[in-house]
Amino acid sequence: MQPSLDLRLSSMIKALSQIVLPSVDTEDKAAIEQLNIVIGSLLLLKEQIDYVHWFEHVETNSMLELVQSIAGHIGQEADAFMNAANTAADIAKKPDATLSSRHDGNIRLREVLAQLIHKSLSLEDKALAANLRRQILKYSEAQISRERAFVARVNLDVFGDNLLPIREALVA
Amino acid sequence: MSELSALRRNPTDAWLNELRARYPTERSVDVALTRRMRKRSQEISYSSPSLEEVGARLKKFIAQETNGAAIIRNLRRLTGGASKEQFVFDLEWDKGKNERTNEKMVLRCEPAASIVETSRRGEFELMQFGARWMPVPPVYWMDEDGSTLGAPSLIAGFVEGVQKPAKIQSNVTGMGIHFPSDYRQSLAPEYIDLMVRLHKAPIADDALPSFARPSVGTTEASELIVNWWARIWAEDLYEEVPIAILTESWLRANLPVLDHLSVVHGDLRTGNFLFDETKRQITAVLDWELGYLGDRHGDLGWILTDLYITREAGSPFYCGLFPSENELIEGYEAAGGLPLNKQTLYWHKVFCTWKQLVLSLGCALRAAEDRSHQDVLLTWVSACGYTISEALRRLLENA
Repeated sequence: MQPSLDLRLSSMIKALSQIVLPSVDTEDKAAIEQLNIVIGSLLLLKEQIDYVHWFEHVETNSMLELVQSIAGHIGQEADAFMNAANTAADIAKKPDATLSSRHDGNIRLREVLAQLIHKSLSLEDKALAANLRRQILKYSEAQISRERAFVARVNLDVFGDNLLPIREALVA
Repeated sequence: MSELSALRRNPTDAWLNELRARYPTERSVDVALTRRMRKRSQEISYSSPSLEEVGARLKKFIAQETNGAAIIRNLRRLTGGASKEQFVFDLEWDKGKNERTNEKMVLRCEPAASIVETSRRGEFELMQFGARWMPVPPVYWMDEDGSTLGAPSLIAGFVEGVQKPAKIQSNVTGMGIHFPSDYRQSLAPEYIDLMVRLHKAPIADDALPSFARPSVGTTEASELIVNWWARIWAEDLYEEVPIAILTESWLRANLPVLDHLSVVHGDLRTGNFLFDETKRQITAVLDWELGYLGDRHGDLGWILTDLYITREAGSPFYCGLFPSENELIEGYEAAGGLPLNKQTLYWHKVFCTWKQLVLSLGCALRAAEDRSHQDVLLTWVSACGYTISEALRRLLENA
């Protein structure tokens, strides 16, 4: 389908940078600041757009894996948590799901995961709770790496040592 | 949309009261947060008032406060900062008996939703208190409920100065300001000295009446600030963040005991003070709205967060000024500061980093939902929530 998303974004960036920005009153600092942010945001979108569905897909699978790993240790409610997680994941994984419904499914899945994490942190078996905490930290390392890669272009990241390109972060 | 997401968008009284009971905070914080949640379900598409509208409201307000004898000139907008809308103007007025003066003033207003929702009265009291110990813009008036000025507002004197060295680039809202060594030599010791003075300042029984006074020898001070930001997170988050859950749990399990009650500025970073470029002296400490009574380690913890690290030839500097945590601690104690406890400092570094996560992935995004004068700026800076998440992960791994 034409024009491609990439061409549309490129043309918007060009128009704003080369035509609009030079004509803004240089005294209007707020307008200049926001216009530069709009241009930067379009550049960011251009970089992200090819990967957004993949991102949500990896999120769903990694959260399900963690839910499965933790639920097995919390006793009677494990089935209820797994059912809730699978219901949320089904929303995200529907073959004809739009991006926003995938994202909504993942938000619901995060809610289930959050309840499970709270449960695991309050286990009476402190050694088990500590072990689960380590698993959650390990999961967080990969999750955060994906998120940082996705917004790296904003240039606010302070840890250069482990910042990955988007594709590498998604396959890691 | 999940039920919780719907409640965050349109909070019911029942849900709000549940949160208030779960996270008891000091009264002024509860009032500010409850007010903003009640506004949230209103359909608002915020756009900045025109200068004409601001001018008309300002004229009416100043007339009320100065018995009508003042003249306003040169009203214009001030840029910078992600929280409040600011305007600058010249005011000719009768400051005291037989003292008619021309003074440059700043009007600070809340948009429909701000990245931080705080009490103007609290800010006013803190600025008056702070002015006894360091250069702070003089505060003159406030419209606490916004009934005249259109939004809760505060008017203070304008102070000359710059946020950053002339040749240095910085990020939005003054983040990422790095000071070359010739600037650090003058500004770093003065910055420390101001903090020391503030933290040691005696707090009279009738001072700062809007603020709770947590008891020394208890964990009350730490609990109050954890509850404050945990409530904001519960009200604002868009998606649950596992590292945030682990962090809150760790903070509550390791609450430090307060050894001395201090006024804490709460946002004492570069970008929030002005200095004279020629003399290299601080001319004003700004943005007191996140201040509270509590543990002085909170101000140092804020400076030590990874988000404010800058680099020079590859070497890191905290807040663009301090090459190491030890240099900050030693400088603080050598300047006569109260002794610092490394464990307590670590706790506050974790707390401050978590607070930054709440601000970026919660507050900034909520305010950006067509409720501020700079939605696009807020969505942009919210991205720092992910490097903050990484900072938290590293801190918890090492805790």
